Amino acid sequence: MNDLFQSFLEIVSQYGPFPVGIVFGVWISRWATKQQFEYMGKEIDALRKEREKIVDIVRSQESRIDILHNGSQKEGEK
Amino acid sequence: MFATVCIMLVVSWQYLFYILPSKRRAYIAINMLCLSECLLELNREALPQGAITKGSYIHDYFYKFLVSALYKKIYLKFPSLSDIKGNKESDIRMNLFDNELNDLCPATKAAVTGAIYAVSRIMFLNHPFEFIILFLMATRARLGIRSGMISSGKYITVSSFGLTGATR
Repeated sequence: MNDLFQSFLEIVSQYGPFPVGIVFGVWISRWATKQQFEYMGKEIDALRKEREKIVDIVRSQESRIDILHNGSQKEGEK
Repeated sequence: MFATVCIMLVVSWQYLFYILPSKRRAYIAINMLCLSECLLELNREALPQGAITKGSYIHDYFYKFLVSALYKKIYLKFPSLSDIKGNKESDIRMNLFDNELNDLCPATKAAVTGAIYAVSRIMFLNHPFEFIILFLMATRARLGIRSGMISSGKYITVSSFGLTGATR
C-alpha cells in the first residue's frame, strides 16, 4: 500500500508541486458548477415570470371572451 | 510554460462547454420574458381600446408571431438574406410596420420596440455570425447599436412568418 502511494506521488509530482493541480482542478470545477447554477436560477426565475405574464394575458382576455360568449348565447336563444 | 498552457486550456474548456451554454439559455429566457411583457401590454391596452384593428400589420402578423413564439414554443427562424434588401414585399411590410408603430400610443410603442429588440438579441444568441451580417446589411445609417438592432429585428419579424417547427 505504501509503495503504491509512493508511486502515485512520483507520477503526480511530474506535473508540478503535488497538491496544486488537484486544488486547482477542484476550484475550477467548483467555479464552473457555481456559475452554471447561478445561470440556471436566472433561467428558472425568467420562466416563472413568463408563466405569470401568460396567466395575466389570459385574465386580460377574459372580458373580451365573455362578450363573445354572451353574444353567441343570445344568438342561440333567438 | 506547459503548465500555463494547460491551465488556459482547462479554463477555456470549462467556459466554452459548461458555462457559456447555460449563460446563453438564461439570456434567451430573459428575452422571451420581454416578448410576454409586450403581448400583455397589447392585450391590456391596445386591443380593448381599438388601437390595433383587424387587417393591420401588427394585429395580423406581429401578434401571431408573439403567440407562436410564446405559447407554441416555436424556434425563431433566421430570415434569408435576400429578403433584406432589393425585395419589394419586405420594403412594403417595413413601411407598413413603421407607419403603424408611429400611430400607436407611447407605452405600447415602447413595448413593441422592446419586443423587437428582444427578438434581435435572441437571434444574436442563436446565430451570432449570421446576425452580424444581417446587422451590417440592415443598418442604412450609422445611428448606433440600439437602432441597428431594432431595424434588424424588424427585418426578422417581417420575414419570419413561416416559423420552423422545432422547439427553442
